[in-house]
Amino acid sequence: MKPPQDPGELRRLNGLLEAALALPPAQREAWLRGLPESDHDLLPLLRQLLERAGTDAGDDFLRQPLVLDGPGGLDEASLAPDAPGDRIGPYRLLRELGHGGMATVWLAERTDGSLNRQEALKLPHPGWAASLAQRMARERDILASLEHPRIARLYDAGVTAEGRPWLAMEFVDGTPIDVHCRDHGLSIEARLRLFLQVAEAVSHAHGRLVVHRDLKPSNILVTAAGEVRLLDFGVAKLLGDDGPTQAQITRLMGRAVTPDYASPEQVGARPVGVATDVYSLGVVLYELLAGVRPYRLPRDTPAALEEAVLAADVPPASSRVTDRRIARALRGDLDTLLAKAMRKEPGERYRSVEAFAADVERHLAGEPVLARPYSLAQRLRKAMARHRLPLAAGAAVAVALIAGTALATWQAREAQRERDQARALLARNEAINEFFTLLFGEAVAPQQADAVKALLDRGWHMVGPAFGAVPENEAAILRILAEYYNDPERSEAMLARAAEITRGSADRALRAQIDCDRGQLLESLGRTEEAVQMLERWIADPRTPDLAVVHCLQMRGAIAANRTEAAVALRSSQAALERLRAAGQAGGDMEADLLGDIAFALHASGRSGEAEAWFERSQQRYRALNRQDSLHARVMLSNWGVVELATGDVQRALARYDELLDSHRRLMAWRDPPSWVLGNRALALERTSRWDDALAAYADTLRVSETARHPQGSRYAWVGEASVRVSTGRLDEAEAALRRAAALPGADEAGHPAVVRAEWVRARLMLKRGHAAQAHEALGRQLEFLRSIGANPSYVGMALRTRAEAALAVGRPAAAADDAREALAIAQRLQGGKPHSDNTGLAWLALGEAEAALGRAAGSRAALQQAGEHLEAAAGPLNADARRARVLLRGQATN
Amino acid sequence: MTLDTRAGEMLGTRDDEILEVHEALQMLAQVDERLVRVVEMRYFAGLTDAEIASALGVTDRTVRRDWERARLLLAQMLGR
Repeated sequence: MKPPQDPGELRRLNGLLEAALALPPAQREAWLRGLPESDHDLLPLLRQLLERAGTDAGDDFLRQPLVLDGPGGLDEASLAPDAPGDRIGPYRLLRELGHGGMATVWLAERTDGSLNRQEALKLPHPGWAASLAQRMARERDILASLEHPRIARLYDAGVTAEGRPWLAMEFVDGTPIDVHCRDHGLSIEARLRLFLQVAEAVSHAHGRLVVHRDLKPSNILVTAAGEVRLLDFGVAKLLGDDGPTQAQITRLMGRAVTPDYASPEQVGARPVGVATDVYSLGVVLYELLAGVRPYRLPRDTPAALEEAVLAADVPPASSRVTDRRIARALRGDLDTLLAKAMRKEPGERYRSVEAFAADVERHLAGEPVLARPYSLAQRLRKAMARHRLPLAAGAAVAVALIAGTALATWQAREAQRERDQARALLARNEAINEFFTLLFGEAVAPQQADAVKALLDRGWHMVGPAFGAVPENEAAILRILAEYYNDPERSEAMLARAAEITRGSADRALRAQIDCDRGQLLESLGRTEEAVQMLERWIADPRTPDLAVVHCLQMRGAIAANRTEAAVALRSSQAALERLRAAGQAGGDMEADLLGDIAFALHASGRSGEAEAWFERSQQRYRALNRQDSLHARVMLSNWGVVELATGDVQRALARYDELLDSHRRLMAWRDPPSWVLGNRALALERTSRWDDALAAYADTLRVSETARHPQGSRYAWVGEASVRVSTGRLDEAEAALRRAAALPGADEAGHPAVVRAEWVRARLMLKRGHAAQAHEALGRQLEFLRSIGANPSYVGMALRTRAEAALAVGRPAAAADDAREALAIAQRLQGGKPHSDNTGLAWLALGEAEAALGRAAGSRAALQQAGEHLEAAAGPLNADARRARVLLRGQATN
Repeated sequence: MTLDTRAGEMLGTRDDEILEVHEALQMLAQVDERLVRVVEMRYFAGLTDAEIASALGVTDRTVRRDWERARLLLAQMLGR
């Protein structure tokens, strides 16, 4: 089905789709049939889309929000179930203590004997490891920020060699609070006092901006000494934290949280805050006092559940107990107090757990509680409206009283959160960053560039005054702005400022990312030493968070690749991959990218033969993630083609680029294919001697590169055209094309493939014009340069082959044979395990001609024989050099 | 990580294909601005329907419907 081609068609489609989707599915077909003739062209498309609407099965397009560093694949190594005696990190599992939706808690002991105590070890369920690592890390951070005698403390955390995260916590030898109350036959008063201990712990967490979100009896244990311990902050949320995965975690939680104790806003997936814990504590207290839960819930669908929680009528606790004495004790204050804690509207509950606890204490002390039955509260509000002034003064006193409490912290944070929400999201969300980088970077049309620059300049001056209060936010925004600028010096200055204002920050991930981005910019500004030092400091620092290290290693690899330090590029990508796996973050796009980076770095290190297997694994990974059509996957495929071109497998490379081009045309009919696909495909065509096709492909490359203002792309295209013209004897046209190439900016990037190729074609042109000595000399200089920068051996081989031709032309057949033999050795090494290579064929051809000139007919014949075979098999029967080899061979046979 | 360091031989990808989603959104924006906002908030920012609804001042139901429509149209435009 053809995608919509223009906005008009899309507008019509959108309108019709909107109307159709508003109808019940059963009526849609009849409605479609009644459409006017003028819309009939869209009918097939509409039917197809409507069929897809509402069907979740097998259609996950865009369903999951973009998460840049949250891989979700299964970790195969951890699929086997855990058993007592198993070792996890420095622990041995003793027995299972319990398990929840996503993790199991084990009683465990340290195997190194360093501490003689039993601990509770939390492990994600086998198979969940990869996707849970991030959440476990959050739990670890949250627990580490809480230190309270009534909260089970965090001892240690880590990741196993297989990438499975674990948390070691205080083992609490106790019973769930409801069981404890029942078994000990506690009085109402004793139950209330126990509850106050719980409230104290929850209040401490709120003061640290942590909402528990899963308060229930099984997470509240009481020890034999009657001490309460609060457990399991596994689904806890940091207030005001709008980090990239927050929404996703919340969604996950929608299913993971025990619904019986969940608040209406939680079940309805609306924003949660301290009021959620107030609600759950209300349910817990209700159960402790009445002996039953306030309501029974259906378990079928989330929607039914939400409805039930919202509709559930909570009968007074006193009405649920049979013991008259208890009923009497609950009636009045305690009923009212529970009702206030469990109001449907978060705003109508106790404003804090402390306020809730204070009312419980008042009741215990025999004082009147502050909670009032609902109707009275409504009457009070009306009175307030009538006597606004005097009551407002009273409210001010109340605010003063609660200052310094958890509530005050929360309110202050909440106010700031609301103010900054939009920008805080921008600052923290890498995915948004990627999108806007595109918008302000690559998507800017040339004629808009100045306006965008002015806009960015204004932004840069606004950041400090607007966000300076939270240096991390200011820095995160600067980091994004820096990426928008197409001006390395400017960007570097921004990142330097970002680094300065976060110098003392505890957010090491942010600091590392800033410095590592900065490193890449410094390198492009020629300050390589500084750049490398900066990156390596973060990489070496054991306190740098894992994913930040991976990022820094990738940057280190990129710098090395730019500087053709292939070995360092390879080491860095390999180390990044290892680190990613050790952090339990393998299985995602990032791993696929790194596998591809390693493949290309292997090629750049002259180990092209090994690259194949890594590319294959990278592609497998993309396919497993259903990302095989993503940009990165296609870049990697194109790089694979580059490696095949270097190893001499021209036909295979050509097929690969044809496929890339096809898939591009299939996916994005409305825009040009990228220049790197076009340019590499043109080269493959040239090497099969399909001259006209190659010229057309180079022309396409030129057009697209010019539109994108990509001078090296344009140079590549002009040089390609010149190369074809030299091969076909159109020397004047070749010279003109080379002149066009030389006029483009960037000619000083001597190691760039387009520049290297230009030098080579120029030498070939000299040779064809009869200036063989000059060509020989130029190629000598080029070879010296290529070797000095450690350029890819395929370039060296190319230059050697041509110098052999030049040597022959100046009457030095022995030198020609030497060069040809060296080119042959290089080509054969690159060819690796593959049966044929056009480069090998070309080197044989040069050797065959040199041998003939040296009068060694047998050696020459053998070489030419080889040349013909290789060229024909690798570059196809049309290849001009294959024909030349056959002609020379026949000539020798007749001699 | 810029793609310039990733694409071999023809180094440099100024005319990046990552633009594909962007361009599809740009085309969609000419037709229905709000759909694009919903996609940005939901897909790129990972906001929930309720959060999007409150940001745009519409109901959850509208967000859910917009999202379904945007998803179908983008899938069609990108050939997925």
